[in-house]
Amino acid sequence: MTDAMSDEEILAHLTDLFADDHPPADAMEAAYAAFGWRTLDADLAQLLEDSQAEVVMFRQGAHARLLSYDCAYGTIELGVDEQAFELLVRPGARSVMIHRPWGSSPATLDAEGRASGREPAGPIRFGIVWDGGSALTPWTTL
Amino acid sequence: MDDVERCVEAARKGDPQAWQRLVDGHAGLVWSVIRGFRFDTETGKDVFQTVWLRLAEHLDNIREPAKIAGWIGQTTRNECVGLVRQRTKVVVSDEVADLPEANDRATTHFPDPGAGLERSEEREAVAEAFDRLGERCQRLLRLLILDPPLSYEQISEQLELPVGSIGPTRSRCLDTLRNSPQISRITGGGRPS
Repeated sequence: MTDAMSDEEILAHLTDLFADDHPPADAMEAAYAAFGWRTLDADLAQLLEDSQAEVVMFRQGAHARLLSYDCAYGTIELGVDEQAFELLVRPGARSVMIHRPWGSSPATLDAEGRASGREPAGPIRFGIVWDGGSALTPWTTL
Repeated sequence: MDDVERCVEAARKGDPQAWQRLVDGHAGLVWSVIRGFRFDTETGKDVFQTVWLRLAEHLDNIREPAKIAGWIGQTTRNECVGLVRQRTKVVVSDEVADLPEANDRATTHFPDPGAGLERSEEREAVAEAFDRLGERCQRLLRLLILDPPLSYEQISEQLELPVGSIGPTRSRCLDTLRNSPQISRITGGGRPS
């Protein structure tokens, strides 16, 4: 049986215990690289709501999470589940790009402004081009 | 203007080294918040990356660069909460957490003795007691031991706790640890002599 531990001794133990619990090296590299995704002068859509509410506007039914955005050119409703998304853009846009940290690809947008698909887990954002201009959604985690 | 404000200003002008200093100075905070949600490491890394991408895109819009730690902490928490909601099948464990060095999933928050790391009886007791500590105390203590350290003002923002309450709360949390069955078993409990 030893003496009761002092505050400093307990904190020293905790410091040692968590000393190895740093972000992994590849996560730090990704954080440094995030700077390269800075998009100056891009119109960033504003998040209006991040909710769990049931959504009937999507063809695929309710999604686990609904993100609603607004920008100068229209509104964007993004329903997300684990590794899946459904997008509803109003008014209908000319094109949508899916941006991931490892690259970008076009999404197929129907006449009603809907796009959906499955994507690997990780950060994602969408670039929407309307006749009048374009906007980006903020990054979120799929 | 303090160092963090200078870093934000320089990063806004495109200085990648200033950005790297911002990351280095706040990575521990972001990781600490993510760890509090007990995601598996791969999910934690996804959130970690999203937070920095979000900061990069919002860098020009942050009104008070001196309080960027508050913005980063809040953004991390919001992203974690949203992800918990959306990933109904996400691996959220109350005891499993990976260590960066481990390729396979570790079974505790801390290094396995089998990994060659020596631990004293006291340290094991602190680890066991910490795991049973309330979430608020865990968050506070983890913020108190971050390197680089956070100021009480920054901790206050992270925990939405008045600055004047941090000292007393710290003492209560440490007392809870000290008087826990795990630590009392080896020390006899009570205040230190």
